[in-house]
Amino acid sequence: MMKRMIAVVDDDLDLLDSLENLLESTGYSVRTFSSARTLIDAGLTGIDCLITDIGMPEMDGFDLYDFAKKERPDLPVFLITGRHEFGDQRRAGAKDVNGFFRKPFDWPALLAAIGNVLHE
Amino acid sequence: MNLQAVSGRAGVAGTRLCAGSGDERELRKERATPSPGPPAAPDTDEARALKIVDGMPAHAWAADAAGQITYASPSTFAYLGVAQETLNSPDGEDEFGWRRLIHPDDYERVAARWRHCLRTGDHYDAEHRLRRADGVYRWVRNSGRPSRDADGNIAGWYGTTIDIEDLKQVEAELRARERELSHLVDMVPSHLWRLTPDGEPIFFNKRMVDFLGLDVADTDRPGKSRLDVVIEAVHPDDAAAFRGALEHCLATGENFALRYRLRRADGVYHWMSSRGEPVRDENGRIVQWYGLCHDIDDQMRAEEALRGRERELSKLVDMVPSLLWRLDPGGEPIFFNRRSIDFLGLDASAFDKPGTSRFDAVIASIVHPQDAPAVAEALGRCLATGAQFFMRYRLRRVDGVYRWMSGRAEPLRDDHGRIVQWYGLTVDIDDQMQAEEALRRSEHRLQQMIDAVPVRIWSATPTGGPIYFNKRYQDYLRSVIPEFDSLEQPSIERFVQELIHPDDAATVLHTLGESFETGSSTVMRFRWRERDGTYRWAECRVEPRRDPDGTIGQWYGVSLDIDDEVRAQEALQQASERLATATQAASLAELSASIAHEVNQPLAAIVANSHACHRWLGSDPPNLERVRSTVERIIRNANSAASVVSRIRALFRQTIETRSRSSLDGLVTEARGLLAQLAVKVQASIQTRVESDIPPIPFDRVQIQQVLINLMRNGLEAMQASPGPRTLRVGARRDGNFVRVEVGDSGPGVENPDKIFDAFFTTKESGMGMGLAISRSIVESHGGRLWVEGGKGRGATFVFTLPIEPPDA
Repeated sequence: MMKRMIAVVDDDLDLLDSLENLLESTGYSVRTFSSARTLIDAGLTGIDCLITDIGMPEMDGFDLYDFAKKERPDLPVFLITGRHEFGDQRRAGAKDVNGFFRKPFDWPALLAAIGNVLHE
Repeated sequence: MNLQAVSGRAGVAGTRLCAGSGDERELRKERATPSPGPPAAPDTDEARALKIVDGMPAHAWAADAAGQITYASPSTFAYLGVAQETLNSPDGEDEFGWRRLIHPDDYERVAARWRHCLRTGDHYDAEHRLRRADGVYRWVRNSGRPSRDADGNIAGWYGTTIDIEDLKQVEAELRARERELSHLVDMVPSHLWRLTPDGEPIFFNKRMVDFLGLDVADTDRPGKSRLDVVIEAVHPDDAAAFRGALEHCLATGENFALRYRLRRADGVYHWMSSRGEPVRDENGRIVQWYGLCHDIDDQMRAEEALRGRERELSKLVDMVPSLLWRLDPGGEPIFFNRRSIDFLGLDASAFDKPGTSRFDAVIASIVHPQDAPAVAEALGRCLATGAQFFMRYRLRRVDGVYRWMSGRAEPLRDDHGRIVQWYGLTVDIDDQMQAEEALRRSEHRLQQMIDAVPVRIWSATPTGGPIYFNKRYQDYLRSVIPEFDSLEQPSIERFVQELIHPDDAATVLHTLGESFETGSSTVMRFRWRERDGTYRWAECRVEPRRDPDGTIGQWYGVSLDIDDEVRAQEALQQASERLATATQAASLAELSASIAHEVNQPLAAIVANSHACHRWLGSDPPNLERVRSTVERIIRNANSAASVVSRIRALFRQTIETRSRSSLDGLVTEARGLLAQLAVKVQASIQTRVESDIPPIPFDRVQIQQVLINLMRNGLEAMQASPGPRTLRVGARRDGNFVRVEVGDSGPGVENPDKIFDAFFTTKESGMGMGLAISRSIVESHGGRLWVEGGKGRGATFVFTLPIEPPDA
């Protein structure tokens, strides 16, 4: 069975590394991007799930979500944030996101949510 | 009379001549009437002579050369009442023997003359008093002539004695009358003169002599007629007229009348009024000219002065810059002065229009048609009642321009109070009226302006007694103090009490009092009470107007409604406070978020890596390679988290360099201002108390303000739900080398005093739990401490200290 491919976008390299490590330890293939632009440039082909930070310079997580949903309406997208802004949560709630997680996350819950989406 | 009767009967013959020695006044020694004589003696010469002698109405006598009476006519003795024998009986006392018959006052004179004549042969003529038989002395005239012999020697004397008593009396009366007359002539206060028919002066009375300094006799000068000499005394300017007039009169016989100046003895000319008339004889021929010359100098001068005064007066009447006029009691104009005539361009005859009275005609022709009826009515009433006339009206000037005049007239009354005339004066007041009108307009404009400007204006005496309020002010005062108009002595105190907000009244009174006392101007802001009980903010400026000598003449004040402005300012202030609060809140939240984000990132990474590590260990076989690399990552993540905290500390520490000594007082006041809105919102009051002995201390103003605001905000928010009075007390005092700042609330207190300063601990739903932690960091970075006192239910008091001396960096 082909490993599922998860794309992670975050401008914080430490967190990007740790997420790649966690997801790989769980058995996923991971592609990391330090910005939305680099992911778009690379294209969404072969990606089964997208995890993106919200607060990023230039194009933020919401913009990337909109882009991804336009390209791949069925692509599962998870939003994560280090910020505590009610606005983020409300905006996220208004979208058809698969999950909204605040840092520091309940990582097991995130993994479970990803598992649920990808193994359905 | 008696004598004459006696004398008349003397005529008796037989009187014989006494043997007179001759040199004596002859006395008619009448022999007794019944002296014997041959009554029928033949008419011899002697007898005839004797008869004549005795028949004379006089006493005849004869005397010898020695003067002894040798004969007296017979009536003589009877007249004298003496005997012939006694007549010639001289003795030592009585030289001639008739001494006792002569009045004692006359005897010596008479005897001396008789002796003289006896010696010289001169004619003897003497008048004296002779005693009659009845003892009465009567004046007689005694005359004697010597008779000489052939050798020319005096042989004897013959004489008569005539009674002249009556004559004497008439003479005396005549003399007295003449004296009187002459006295009169000399005394009349006029010059009297007489001229010959051809004009030569023949008499000047004494006054005239005294005046001219020359008598008629003095006018006799060689080569000149007397008249010429007199004319020399006439003033050169009058001399020709004088001569002409006189010569005319002399020629025609007409009366002379002339005024001329005559030189007085002292050289001063006097005006004279002279009149002369001729006296004619029965044939109508001029015998003399009589004249009278009266000194009229004083009169002439008085007349001259009078004429001068009259001229002056008339000049004055014409010169005064007013119209003067006179009316008769009926109102008919009888006089206009020159100016009236010039001003009105009058032609008096023009008023004589048939059918109208002159009075109406005058008024109609010179008074402005709009004023004429009123003038006619008023003047008519005055004429009827005698009341003074006074009115302003327009008169038409000669050029047709109407000018405003002030007319005034008063009646002149005679002794009976009857009006004789009306005297009127009319003054041109047009310029004045124009000026007054301009002034009125200007004043009106000013008044309108003062009443229209949306300002309350007032003035007061130097000591502050109100003098004037403009209309706006009055309207306001009336609206708030209903009895304003009946106030007799409105006082500033009363106004302040009634009109100004209680919180401002004392200050306003004090400020005004100080101004009035020191003379300095002032500006105040206070709240007026309006009619509806609301208050409105006003700005009041008070300034003195000083006289040239520097003393204060009046105070002027204006009060400008600035309520909207103040409210706008308040709103602005509130907005600005809200903005400041929001900014500060935002900055704190931002800071918190940023810190959270900074710390969250490595923490999240650590957690993720830890989970991964766990999974790498749990895989079969455990992927130790990945475990190792994961643990290395975890260590790196943890270090990076620690460095975030370090960076934050470093961030606060950096600002220590920018600290400057500031006053806590200002800080507290500012913080209070910034939170005022919030206090209102939670219905809490903020009490601040900063002790005055706190020196300025070094601190980062922005940071410490953040701390203070954070603590105060926490306190206010903590009280939001608590019942009862909500008071936030902020106090600062010195505590050794520290300043101790306390922020106490009356909220529910602190449940977890140990945890609240931990980051991310919060009891508030919306809180991040970062405020107190950061606050503590800030305080500690300043070398102070931050803690909380008080437990649950007693309110919380947050305390922080700051060192008075800066901590060693």
